Amino acid sequence: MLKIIVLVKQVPNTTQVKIDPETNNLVREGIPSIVNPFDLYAIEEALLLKEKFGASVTALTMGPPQAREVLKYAMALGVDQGVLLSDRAFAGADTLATSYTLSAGIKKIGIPDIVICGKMAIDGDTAQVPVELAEHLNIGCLTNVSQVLEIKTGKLKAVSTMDFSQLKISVKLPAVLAVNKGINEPRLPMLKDMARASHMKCNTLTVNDLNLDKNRISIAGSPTWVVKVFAPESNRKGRILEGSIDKQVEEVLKVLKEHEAV
Amino acid sequence: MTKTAEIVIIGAGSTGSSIAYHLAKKGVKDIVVLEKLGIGSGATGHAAGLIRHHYPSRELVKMAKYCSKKLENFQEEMDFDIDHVKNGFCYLTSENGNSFVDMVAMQRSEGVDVEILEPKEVENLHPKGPINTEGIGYGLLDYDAAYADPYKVAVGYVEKAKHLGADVRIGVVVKDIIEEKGKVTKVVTNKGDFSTRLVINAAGIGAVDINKMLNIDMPLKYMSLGHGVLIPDVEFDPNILTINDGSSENFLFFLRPESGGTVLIGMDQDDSNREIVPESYYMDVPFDKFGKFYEYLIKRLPFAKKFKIQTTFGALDLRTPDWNPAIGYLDNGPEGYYLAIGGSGHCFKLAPVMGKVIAESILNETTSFDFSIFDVNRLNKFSDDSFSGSFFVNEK
Repeated sequence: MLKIIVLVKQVPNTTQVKIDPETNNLVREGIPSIVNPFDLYAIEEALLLKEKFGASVTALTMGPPQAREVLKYAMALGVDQGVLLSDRAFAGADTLATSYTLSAGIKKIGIPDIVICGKMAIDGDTAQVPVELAEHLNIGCLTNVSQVLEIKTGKLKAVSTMDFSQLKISVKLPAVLAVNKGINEPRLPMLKDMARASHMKCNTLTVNDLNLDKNRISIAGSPTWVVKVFAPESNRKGRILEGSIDKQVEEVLKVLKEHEAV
Repeated sequence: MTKTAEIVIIGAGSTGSSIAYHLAKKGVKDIVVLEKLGIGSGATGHAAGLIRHHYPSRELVKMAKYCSKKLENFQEEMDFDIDHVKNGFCYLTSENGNSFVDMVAMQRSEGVDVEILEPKEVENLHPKGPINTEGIGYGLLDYDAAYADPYKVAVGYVEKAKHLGADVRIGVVVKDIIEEKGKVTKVVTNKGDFSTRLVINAAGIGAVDINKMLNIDMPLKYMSLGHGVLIPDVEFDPNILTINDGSSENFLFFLRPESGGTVLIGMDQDDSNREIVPESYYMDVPFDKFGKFYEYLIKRLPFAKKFKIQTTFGALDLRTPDWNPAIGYLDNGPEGYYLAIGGSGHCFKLAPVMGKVIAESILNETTSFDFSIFDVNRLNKFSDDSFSGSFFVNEK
C-alpha cells in the first residue's frame, strides 16, 4: 500500500483582509484562518490516489497549536491521520528553515512514497518549500503537476504544466509533488465528517522529538530577511457611474467598445 | 468645507437606511447618511434574515407583526426585490408547553398564527426527515414566519431614500462629533464636516466608538454568531420551514433554506473567552467548537448528516443586557444626539418599525407603536456585569 504525506498550512484568509478606508493599511485583526487554498488540491490528489491505489495518507503541518484545525479539516475530508510540528523553537522560520523542519518531521514519521504539496501558500506566494523539502530529503521533485498519469514499479508519471509548456515527466519514488490549482476539484466535508473529525486526535511533535540541527531551524536557520511589507501602488483608476441602469449599461458598453473589449 | 444638514444619520445598515427612508418620506429635506464601508456591510449584511413573530411581550409582537407584513410587501411598496420567502419557523425548547400557553394566547390575540406542538408532532414536522425529539419539551410553530435578504432590505431603503432626496455617502468615516453648550453642532469626517442640529447614531457595532466621541458610556457588549452555508445532498425547496433548536444550553442553532438550493445554519457562540475585534466583522468559526456543534445538529436533524459545508462566516452584533435595542435621546446626554443602537441580533426583522417610530419620534409626532421598552435611558439600571443568557434562548 502506498504511503502518502500531504503538507498543509494554516493561513489568514487573505480574501477577507480589509483595507482601512483612512490609512489604506491592511486590517488583519480578526481575520479567520483557513486551510491554504492550494493545499486543498494536494489533499484531494492524495485522497484520489488513496481511492485508486489504496494508500495511507498523513497530513503534516507546522504551526502554533491552533494549526491543528487544518489537520482536522483534512481528516474530515478523509485523511487518515494528522501530525503537527509545534514548538516555539520553530517560530520565525523562512522557507528554508521551514522546509528543513518539515523534512525532519517527515523523517520521524518515515519517508513515504509520495509527499504532496500545494503549489504555494497564499500568505507568502514563494512556492519554495516543495523543492527545498525534496533537497533536504534527497529525493526527486515534480513541480506544477497538473495530472498524475500512472504509478508503476516505483515510478510516478505526471503532466507538469508551466506557463508556456507542458511536460510529460516521470520521477523515481519516493518523490515530492507540488500540484497545480485545478488538478482536481477539491471535495467539501459533510457535517458528519466534521463531527467525526472533531473527535480525532492529532500527534504533536516538538523540537525534542525530532532529530535535527538546531542551528538550521527558526530565525537562526533563516537567511531570508523581510525588509518591508507594503501594498503595491495601484495606477488603475476606477470610475463610479451615475444615472439610470440603462444609462450606466450604455456607458459601460461604450467604454468596452473604445477599448475593443467587445 | 462645512456642509449643512438637517439630520445626519451615521450608518447605512438596515436601521439607518430605514430611518433615512421614513424621514425622507415624511418630507424631511437635507438628510445626510454617512456610511464608513458600504450599505449593510456590518451586522445587516451578515444577519440570518429570519422574520418571525414569537416574542414574549405584546409590544414586540405587535411590532414584529407589522414588520413581517411590511417585509412581505416590500417589493410592491418599495419596488425592490428582497428575496422574501414565507416558509414558517419552529422553535424547539426543552421546557414544557404549559409554561408558554399564556404567551401563545397573547400572540394569537395579536393575530399571529402560532401553534404549540407536542414532541410527537415535532418529530414529523420536517419534510426532509424525522426530527430527533430527545430532550424536546415542545415546539412552537410560527406559520407566517419568513426570511429575506437583509442586505437587500438596506439597499431598498437607501435607494428609495435617495430618490426622495436623501444624500447617502459611502466611504465617509466619522472622526468626531462637536458639542457646544450641551448641543451637538457638527459631525467631523474624513471627507469634510457637516454642521447639523441632529445626529442619529445608527452605527451598529461601530456605535460604541461614536458614543465615545461624546464621552458616552453604556452597558453594551459585542456578540457573535457563527454561520455556515451547506450544500444539501437532497433537493431543498426554498419554502421548507426554519428549525430553531433552543433546547440545549450548549448548542443553539437554526437551519433554513438559502438561495440557490443551499441551506443556511447559524450557531450561537460563547464568546466569554474570546477577544472580539469590532473592526473586523469576519469572525473565526473555530473547528474544535463547531465540530461538536455539527455533531449535535445531525443528532437533532439526522437528514442533514450528508450536507456539505461550503463556507462558514461570523456575524457580529452589539447587544444590550436585556436584548432589546436602545432608542432615543439620552436624558443626560447632549441635545440633538439620538441613539438607534444595540440591535442585539433583532434589528433586521424590526427595520420597518424602527424607521417608522424613530422618524415619528424625531418629528415629535404620536408614535404608531409604544416602543418604551426600547428607551435608551433604561440602560442606566444595568451594569456591565448584567449580561447573561445566549441569543436564541433570550430571543424566545
